[in-house]
Amino acid sequence: MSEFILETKALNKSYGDVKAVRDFTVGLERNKIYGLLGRNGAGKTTFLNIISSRIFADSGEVRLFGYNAVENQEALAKICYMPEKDLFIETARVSRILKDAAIFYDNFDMEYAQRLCKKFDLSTGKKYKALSRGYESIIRIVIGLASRAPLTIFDEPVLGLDAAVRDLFYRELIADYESNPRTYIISTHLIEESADVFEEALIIKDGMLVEKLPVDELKEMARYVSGKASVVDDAVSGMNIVHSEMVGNVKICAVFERLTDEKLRMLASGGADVSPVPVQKLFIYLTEQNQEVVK
Amino acid sequence: MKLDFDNEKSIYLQIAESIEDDIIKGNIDEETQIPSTNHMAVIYRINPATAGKGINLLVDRGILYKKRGIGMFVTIGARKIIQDDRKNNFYERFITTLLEEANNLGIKTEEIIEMIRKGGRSSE
Repeated sequence: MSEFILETKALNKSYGDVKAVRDFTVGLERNKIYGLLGRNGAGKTTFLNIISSRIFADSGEVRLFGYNAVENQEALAKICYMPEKDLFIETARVSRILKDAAIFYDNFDMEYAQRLCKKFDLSTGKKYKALSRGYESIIRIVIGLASRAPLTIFDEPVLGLDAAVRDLFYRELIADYESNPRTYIISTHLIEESADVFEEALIIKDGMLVEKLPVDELKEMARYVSGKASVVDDAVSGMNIVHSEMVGNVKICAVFERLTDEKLRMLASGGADVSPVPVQKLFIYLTEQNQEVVK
Repeated sequence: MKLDFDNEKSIYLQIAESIEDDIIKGNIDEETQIPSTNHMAVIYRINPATAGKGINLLVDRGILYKKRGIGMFVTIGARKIIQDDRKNNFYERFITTLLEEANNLGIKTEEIIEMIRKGGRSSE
């Protein structure tokens, strides 16, 4: 059996002329938390819809828990996918939705779901259509966490939630992950606050997987180099530059590659300043449409 | 333990440093248990693997050890290990940056020494 619980090979999906997912090949391991990071329209949701068999790819293969995923009930029963929208019956009450979830997901823990409702202040007597945007997110969080599904997928789980509730979600996820390890895929564009929750980041741009790296490494690979233009140009020559700008007479470049101690010393040797790049900025540079390439 | 991290260094290094700080300052005694990886992961809101990486770093250096089925404990002599390591790194960590900034500001070495003397007296 494969070491991966989810494996895709050369997935492609187009809508008319738009290639939503392109040549997407990836393998995800058991019991890791993955962040799926991409800008609006990058193909995150299409990718998630394909791996959960909500839609079908034009070409390519999805294997879940070692099985071909297409219409394979055994494999699909191990997934809980909480999409961003279009999921529940408008007129159903929260309590009804939870009961349905308990039937649908084999490992669903109703007692835990009830505790989560209290923690997140979600009243189970309310009808779904009466919930505010924030509580629409919360009911997805409750079901996703309580499903205890071996592969739990959240698409933009914290939309419409204030900072305190987002914080509660991340902590709850980590706490439950410890006692009930499973694989998570969490798509988000709020990277700064969630990056450290992920073990690995999958960065998607124009439907393609551009990076798949442990978050630690991702951060260690990026540095700002700034100083006099000539000094900076010398320091970064031959390196992978993902961003560059002038602030007055000072040039600031962001480099992104495996930085050995020797390379770090080289960067600083000419008198240039070397400093870390915040992860949200790095994400912007990696997914920018027009990366300025400096020679 | 501190509750926030900066961008300067990898989180697992900061976890390790924060535990070291507590040992050096006497907030955690030798032969006592440190918080579990799980607990730290939730408090810091980080991936448990990252917390584990930080703790393993200290295990490798003989600062922490595992009691099977109980948890992680501070070894006897941990304080000394940390102090020795930090003394070795003192020049790199503090003096180099100090001299760099002094150089930018045009502060002479004699002036720095005088400042250190003054600071030393006031804390004595």
